[in-house]
Amino acid sequence: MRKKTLKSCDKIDYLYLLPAVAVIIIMLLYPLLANLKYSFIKYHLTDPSRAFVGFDNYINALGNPEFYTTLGRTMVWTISVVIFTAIFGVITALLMNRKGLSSKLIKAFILIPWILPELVSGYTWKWMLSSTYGIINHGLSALGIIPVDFSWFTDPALALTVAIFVNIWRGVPFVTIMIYAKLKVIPAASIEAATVDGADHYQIFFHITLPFISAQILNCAMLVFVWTFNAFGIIYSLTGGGPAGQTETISYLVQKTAFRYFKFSDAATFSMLMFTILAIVVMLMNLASTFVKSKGDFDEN
Amino acid sequence: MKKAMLIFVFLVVAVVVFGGGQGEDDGVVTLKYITLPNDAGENWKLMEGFEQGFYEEYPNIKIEAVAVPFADLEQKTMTAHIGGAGYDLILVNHPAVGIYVDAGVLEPLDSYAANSTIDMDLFNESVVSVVSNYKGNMYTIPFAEGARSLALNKAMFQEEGLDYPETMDEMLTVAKQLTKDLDGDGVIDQYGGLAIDFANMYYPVYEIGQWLMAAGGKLYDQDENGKWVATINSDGSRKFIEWSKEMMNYLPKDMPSWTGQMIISAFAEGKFAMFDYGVWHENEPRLQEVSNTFDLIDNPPDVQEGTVGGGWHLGMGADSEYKDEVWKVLEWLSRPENMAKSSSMLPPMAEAFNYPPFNSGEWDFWKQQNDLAALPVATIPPMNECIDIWNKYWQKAILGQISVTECLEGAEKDMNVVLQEYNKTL
Repeated sequence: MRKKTLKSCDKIDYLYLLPAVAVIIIMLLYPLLANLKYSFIKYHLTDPSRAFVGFDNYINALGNPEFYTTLGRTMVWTISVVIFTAIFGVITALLMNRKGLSSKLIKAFILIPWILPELVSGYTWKWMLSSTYGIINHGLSALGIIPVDFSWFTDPALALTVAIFVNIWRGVPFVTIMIYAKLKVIPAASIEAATVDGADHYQIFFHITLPFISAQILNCAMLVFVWTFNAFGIIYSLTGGGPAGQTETISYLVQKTAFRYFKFSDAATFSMLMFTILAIVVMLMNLASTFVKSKGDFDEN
Repeated sequence: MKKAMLIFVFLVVAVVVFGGGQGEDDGVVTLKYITLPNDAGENWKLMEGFEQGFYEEYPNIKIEAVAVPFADLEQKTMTAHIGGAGYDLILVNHPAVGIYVDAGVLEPLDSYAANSTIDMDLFNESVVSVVSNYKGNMYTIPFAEGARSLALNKAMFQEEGLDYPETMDEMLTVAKQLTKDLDGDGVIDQYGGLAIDFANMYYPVYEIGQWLMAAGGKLYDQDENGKWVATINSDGSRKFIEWSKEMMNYLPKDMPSWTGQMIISAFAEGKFAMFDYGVWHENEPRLQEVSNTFDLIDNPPDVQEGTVGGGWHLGMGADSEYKDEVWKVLEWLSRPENMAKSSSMLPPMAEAFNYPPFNSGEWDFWKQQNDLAALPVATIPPMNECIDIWNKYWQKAILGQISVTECLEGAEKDMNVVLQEYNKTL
């Protein structure tokens, strides 16, 4: 009798999972499979044939010089954001972990860049950096740091650098919070013992703190990599992909191909290539994270 | 418990399946019309036109506007069609006619027109034959044609004692003279050049692209076999690029980062001597506030006189269940007196200028511009991709990143790849 009741409970438990499974299937699995399908047919909205073309779409994409140029630019954009977001995130978390005014100030304002919508951030920075209307340009030119009519967006390398900076500004709060949470559980005994043994702040950081938070840094880096690689809004609002398309990233290329040229199969192919690249990177970073964890000397418990 | 759950699920499904949908209610048919928002100013005049006449004539037809931003209009129209929820009445930007037709969004209108009172001869032939008609069938009714002119800051020209330019070279001459540091602090305050909106990919074809047309340049054309080929690599195009490159010397250094709204504000404030003024700017509040500070002139021609036209059309959704009712809307709109009160820009028929508000003398200049208006390129489906290619190469050339020759050869090569793919479908 008791055994039957337990089995009924299990079945009801699975029933409660159904809505979540339905969401995953509808919002994740179905679009992924549909995208995969579109990458093997010719799906241009202006051509109703929808013929199966095998790997032609992939061959065309991989033979397209614009794809490699855009991919290279995307990797520069992504890796730069990941590295500097991690560095500044760790520094900010360390400052936040200290007692004092700096900690209080950071805690009060740290989340603002994170909670602002992507497009709002992009357009706001665009206006602040305008040579005619921008408060930042006005201030910097008053200090003699830049000429009055200095443009951040005419040179493609500088425009991309600005976009990277803005995205770092947006991403640092997330990394800060994650690292800060980890810093709060560093075993105090280890730090005390090191201090008693005569270790200075740098030695404590590099030999105790950093190894302890390294797995967390890697996890944050992985998430920031995925988000940045896929980012569209910042580029769209800040540079519009310009000048002359020289700050377009892969996600911008996908959006343009799908909704300006209406070549859905080409866009789907680019998306699948993006997915493949991301999957490989995430797998490698997971392996790295596992390796780091296995080498860690600390047990939180 | 299980029974209650089943009944609940059944009720939800029933509500979703049978409770949704619009269309017909008590004999009144509601047509879904996809258009731009009211604050765009432009196409909402059509809704006012319906209020002023259509609903009186057809009390059993109502039109419900679904507004989407300009940048999303084509995307929303196409995805609604793919999803089987297409609109009854569709606002069509003229470059999108070919794309919509090939995607099956628009219903052919020939059979309706043949049995109606519409006089297609009243329409401007250039618009109807090149845009409304596609692959031998008629798909849209044009109702708001755009034309452009050159706006000049009066005070700047008067203070320098300069005449208004009449050629492209004279535009450069006055641009140079009017670019100056007014307060002597070593910083340019006043720009004599014609502002360029880098963010608008249509700019080097439609706005400043008028001078590509004036110089005799063209993106692509049909050869003797009816195939599309890139024709951008020409002397006229070269002249245009060199002209626009020189024009950059009389504009702010960060012109690439300026948005269209920044440019409008700056011209209204008196920072720019010249501005590409379209008829829709008659509805732009910031410019109308200062309308006494600028004059409108014909676009200075070189090889070819004219202004770039285009404009808005109405189409019948292929998915519509109320095609007869939609046709009544299009038929009503095609009468000159109705087109005059519904057109937010210029009615694409000369007869409509005999009706209010166009029968006042205020519109004589724009009627003249309308008569000169021509489409810069054929509105075939790869148009957007070709314009994008041209925009990139042109920007690189005027920013000094590539030579004029590299620009023209590169643009021609890349455009031909796109056009050859399209030619295979013909």
